[in-house]
Amino acid sequence: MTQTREPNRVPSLLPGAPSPPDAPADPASPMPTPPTAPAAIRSDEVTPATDGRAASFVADHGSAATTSAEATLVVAYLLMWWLVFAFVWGTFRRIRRLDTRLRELESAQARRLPEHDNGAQT
Amino acid sequence: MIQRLFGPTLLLVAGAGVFSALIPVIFLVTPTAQIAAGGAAQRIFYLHVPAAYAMYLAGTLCFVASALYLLRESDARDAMARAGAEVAVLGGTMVLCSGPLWAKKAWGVYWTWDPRLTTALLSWLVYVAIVLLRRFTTEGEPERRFAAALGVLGWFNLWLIHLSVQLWGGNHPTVLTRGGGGLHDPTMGLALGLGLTAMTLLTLALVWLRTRLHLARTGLERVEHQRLHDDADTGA
Repeated sequence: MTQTREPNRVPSLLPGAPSPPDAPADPASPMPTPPTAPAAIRSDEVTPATDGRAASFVADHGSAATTSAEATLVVAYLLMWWLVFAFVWGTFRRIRRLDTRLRELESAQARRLPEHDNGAQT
Repeated sequence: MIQRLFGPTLLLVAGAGVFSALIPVIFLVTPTAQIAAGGAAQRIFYLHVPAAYAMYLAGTLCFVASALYLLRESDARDAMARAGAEVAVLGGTMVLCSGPLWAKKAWGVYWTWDPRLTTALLSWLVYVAIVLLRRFTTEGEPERRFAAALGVLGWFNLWLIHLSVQLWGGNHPTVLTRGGGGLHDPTMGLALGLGLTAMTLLTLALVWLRTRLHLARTGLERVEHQRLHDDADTGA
């Protein structure tokens, strides 16, 4: 079961923030009550979120709702490892290419040196 | 090449070893945290926090090298500053990817403009700017100095991330800050310690490796430039 938490403590820039519930319809009225537009959150209604956020982690044994995030965990760790390995692999690949190029230049330089010597002698 | 890369490779192998020990500890030893902290998703914490620490460490190395470069220019300092910025981008990317995956479980949304999240994103963007600047501009002195100045600026922004929770509140957990409840199970502390150790080794290895890479690249460009000059002089 997905654990959801109503994000009603964050500032109004949060997309998808829940709107206040509509007023209940009068059962005697023949016409359905039109839905009210969600009220804009006033700046004085926004308070810093100090309660409800985790200030510590404690073990929670035996709760069924804690096992739903394992797929998320695996995805997160695989993504992190992919990033790191891609970075390391890319670095080693560039170093190999630089080494190859450097060796080419060194051999070209070594070939050039006898030509220079011959030119100097004549 | 093998000799030159022995040091960073050794650090990488050591880091991989610690990570190999960390994974079973995270998934088999540490208990699941309370629902309010995201339940099983809280285990992302043991990678998320070390990744943030890696960003801080790499950013600090970038800061030191950048500041030293501004005092006196050298290829080594420039290379290390550039490497630090790149590894800080990597660490920041890991933070900004792992955090929302946890937040979806704990808060119901992937992202909020929470002070800590916002300042972390801002820091990451500063280091991305440094990397892009060095990647898409020439290797001239003004570009290097500008990147070094950004590297110095970026470090001060890292402090904002750290202090944002105390200064501005927000939804982000305060488990490890002063006044926070902390980790109530000793195995949680063990997992976090292993993660921080592994990330230290990995960060130092990557910065060392990238510094060597940039130094080699700079040296190669100079040799090629000199060769072109020689060819032009001899008419070859």
